[in-house]
Amino acid sequence: MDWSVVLLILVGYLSGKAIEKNHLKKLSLQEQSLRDVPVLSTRTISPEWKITRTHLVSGSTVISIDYFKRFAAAIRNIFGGNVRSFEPVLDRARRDALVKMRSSARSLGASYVINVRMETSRIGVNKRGKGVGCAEVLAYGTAIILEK
Amino acid sequence: MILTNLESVPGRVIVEHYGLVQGSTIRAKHIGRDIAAGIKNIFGGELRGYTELLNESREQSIQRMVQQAHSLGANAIINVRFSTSSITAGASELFVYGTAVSVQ
Repeated sequence: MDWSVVLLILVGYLSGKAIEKNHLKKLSLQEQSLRDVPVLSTRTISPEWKITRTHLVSGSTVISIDYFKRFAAAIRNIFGGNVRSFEPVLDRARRDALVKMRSSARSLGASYVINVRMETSRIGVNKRGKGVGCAEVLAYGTAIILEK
Repeated sequence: MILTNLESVPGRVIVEHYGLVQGSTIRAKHIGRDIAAGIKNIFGGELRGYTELLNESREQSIQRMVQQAHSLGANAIINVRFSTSSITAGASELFVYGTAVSVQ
C-alpha cells in the first residue's frame, strides 16, 4: 500500500475531527443567539400577525468531506449499511445553511421565517463520480416582518 | 418587486397572474479555486470560495427572473423555488423559477 494514502487518511482523520468539533461548537453558539427567529416549514400565516412586509431569504453552504471520511465510506460501500461518517457532515451543512438564512432574516428585522425549504446537491463531480466532490445545502424561506 | 416562496403575498390581494418566470445561470468554477477546493477536500470543512460563488450566481439567476417578471408588468413573484444541478465536473446550473403576479 502506498504510504501517501495512509498519510492522507491520517491527516484527514485528525484535521477532519478538529474542524468538525470547532464547527459544531460554533453552530450551537450561533443557534443559541438566533433563538428569537423561529423557523417554520409550514406556510400558514397566523391571523394575529400584523405583517408589514415579507422578504425571500436564503442561506447556503458548500461543505467538503475529508479524506478519512471518504475512505471510510468507500469501505462501507462494500458491505452496505448506514454511511455514518457522512451523516454529521450533511447535518453540519444543513445547520450552517439555516444559521445563515436566519441571520439574514434577523438583519431585516424579521420575527419568523416560514415555508422553509431545503435543497441538497452535489457539485464539482463528473460522470464517473471523480473530481472535487462536495455537497451544497441551500435553505430558503419567507421572512415575515411584523409591525412594531 | 416582492419575492416570496408562499402561494400568496401576505396582506395583499393578487389581481392578475402572468404565468411562470424563470432565470438560470451556469457557472464554471475557475481552476485556482478548484485546486484550493481539492486541497481542502483532504482536510474537510466549509468551502467558502464555492459558497460565495454559488451565492453570486444565484443572485444573478434571481435578477434574470425579476427582469422577466418586470417585462411582463408584474410586481411580485410568488412560489419561488430554487434548484441546482451539476452538469459537468466544472460547472453547475443554478435555476430559479416562480409565478409572476400583480398585487394590490
